[in-house]
Amino acid sequence: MAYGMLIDLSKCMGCRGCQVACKQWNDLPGEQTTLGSDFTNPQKRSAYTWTTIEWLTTEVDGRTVSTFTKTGCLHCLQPACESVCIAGAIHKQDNGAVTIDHDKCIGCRYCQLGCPFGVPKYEYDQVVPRMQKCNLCYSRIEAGLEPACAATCPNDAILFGERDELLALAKERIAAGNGRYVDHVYGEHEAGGTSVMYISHVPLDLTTLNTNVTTEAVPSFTWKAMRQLPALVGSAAVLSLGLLAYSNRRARLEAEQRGGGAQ
Amino acid sequence: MSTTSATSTKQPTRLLRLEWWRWRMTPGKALLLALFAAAAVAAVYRLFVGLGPATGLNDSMPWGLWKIVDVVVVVPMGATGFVMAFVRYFTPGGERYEYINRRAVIWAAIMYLSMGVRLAFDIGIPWRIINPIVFGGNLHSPLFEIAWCVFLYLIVLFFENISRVAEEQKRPWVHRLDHALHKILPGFVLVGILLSTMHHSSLGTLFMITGKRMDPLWYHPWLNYVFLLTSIATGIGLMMVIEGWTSTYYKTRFETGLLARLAPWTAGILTFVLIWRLGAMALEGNLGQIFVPRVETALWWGEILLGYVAPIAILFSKARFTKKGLVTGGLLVTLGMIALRLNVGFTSLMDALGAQYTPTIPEILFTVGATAGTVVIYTWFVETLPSILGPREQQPTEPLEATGD
Repeated sequence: MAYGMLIDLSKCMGCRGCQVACKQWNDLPGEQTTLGSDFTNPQKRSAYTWTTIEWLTTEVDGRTVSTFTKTGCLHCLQPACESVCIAGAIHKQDNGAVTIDHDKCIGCRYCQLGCPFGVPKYEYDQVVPRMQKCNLCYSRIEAGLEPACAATCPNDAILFGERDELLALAKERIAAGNGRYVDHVYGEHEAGGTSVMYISHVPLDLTTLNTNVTTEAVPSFTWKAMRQLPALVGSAAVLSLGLLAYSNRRARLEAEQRGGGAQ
Repeated sequence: MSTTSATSTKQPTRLLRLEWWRWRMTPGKALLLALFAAAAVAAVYRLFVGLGPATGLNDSMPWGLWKIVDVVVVVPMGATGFVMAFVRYFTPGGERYEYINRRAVIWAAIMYLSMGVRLAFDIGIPWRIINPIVFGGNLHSPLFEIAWCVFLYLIVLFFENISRVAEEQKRPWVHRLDHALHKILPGFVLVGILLSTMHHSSLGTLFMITGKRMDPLWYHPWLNYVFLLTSIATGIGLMMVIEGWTSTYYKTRFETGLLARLAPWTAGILTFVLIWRLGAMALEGNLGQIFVPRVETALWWGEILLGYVAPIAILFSKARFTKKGLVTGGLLVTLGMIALRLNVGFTSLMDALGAQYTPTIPEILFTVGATAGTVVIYTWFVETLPSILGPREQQPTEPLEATGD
């Protein structure tokens, strides 16, 4: 069963309970933080902070609009990180979670380059570092529980369930909202579809969601080149051997012309 | 340091007959060695403090100098090996390139080994560098494909180079074995060529995962083939530089005619790549970008003018019949290849990633020192195995004296 989450931004009140629950369940250490112009804290996700509520304050028609966006791994249906991982350490699990096997990871950090959302974070401060990111509380799902953030959300802004059902629910809410929601389920098509989806009551560019992201499945970007390798190698072999035959023939003819006959 | 002639009588009792210290220290090599030592210090420092403190890497910039230069640039620097072996074994009249090929394959072996060692320090857990080979990995990953190709190609390079050592031996069975190897060597060369076409293109595939997040000036739908073709051009271009410097340093013959014969091929490949890059930009509707005043635009023009237009002009012209023309043209081809890799790896991605990245002193020392080290190791091989330079009978009986410092 492929689970996912639906995050209804209109219901988020920015309490950051999800942040705290995530830290607690995953036993992540606290970090020295600083305040910025908004109330996002910590300012960035890191190997020790897998989810944050990002505040974004914008002026729209003279009105100050403040939005909260729950960030973290979107658990793509076809994850770029999984496709580029040299060690096969990253897996899209059957339950929907994209997880990292620390025992396999060699630390090439290609997943950080590949992820269109900038999700995987590395323990750069460690001598033997690990790649870290939200794992959709894989172990909780296996035990029949919701992810910690969804379980703790006091206003049901984070809903956990089967992705298909959540997608239907999202569309239902948008339809029933009579314009209360933006008519867009973020994550339905983004990066080829993600398990974590969003609906929003404000235009998406007022949130911190990446609105520039491709709608194609990212692994296809490199696969289109990888799948041509057999043809490339075949052509190189044909070219080399063809040229070799030609060279040998020419050498033989030249030798005959010199009058020596075949060597 | 150098062995005396008296030892030669005892040689048959040794398994491997080699005069290890024909190599001579000169001020120039001492400087390179000092840099190499500095790189070793930086490497040890990195092992003890980890990537974060030792480098400028952070979550916004996962790949820095150690990946972009030490792998993505250094591997095509080793393209000399497969390109010259192709010329030597598969093209008409290839046997004339025998001695150029010897230098090409030893240089390639040094480059690939150096890359493997450097990469070990770049990855988060160095001792897992061999894991993808031992435990397998992910066939979908271009990096996995590169790891396997490089590993297998190192084996090919071993067989392409081992004859230089075999020629030093006295035992007849070694020579019989070497003779047998020569019979099947074209097979190894072919495998090397196939592996090379794969991993040189895959180095471009690496960056294709970023899709159109990449700056439009460098976005190319088939970046893998752009990388492969520029690698081939570099295989010839860098060889001109190596030949130029080797012949000056060791006072040996510079094969102007043989290299001039290859020059139009390099220029032709670069012309094709340039047209393809511009054409792809035009198809994307991004050609106007080359006139937008940005820092990136200046870097793009620098790359195109110095790395494409200038070497194309030199290597197609009569200048290619002179040593100066060939070395200059070859150097520009190589610099153009390096500029493309740096621009794709840094310039085109830093904005998209929102990257904050300044390489640290140890990071720069490591990259510069390791590169200096490869040059020293090259001189060590050339001086220790003189058959790399040419037929032994044409060489002075005295050990090679490095003169060009």
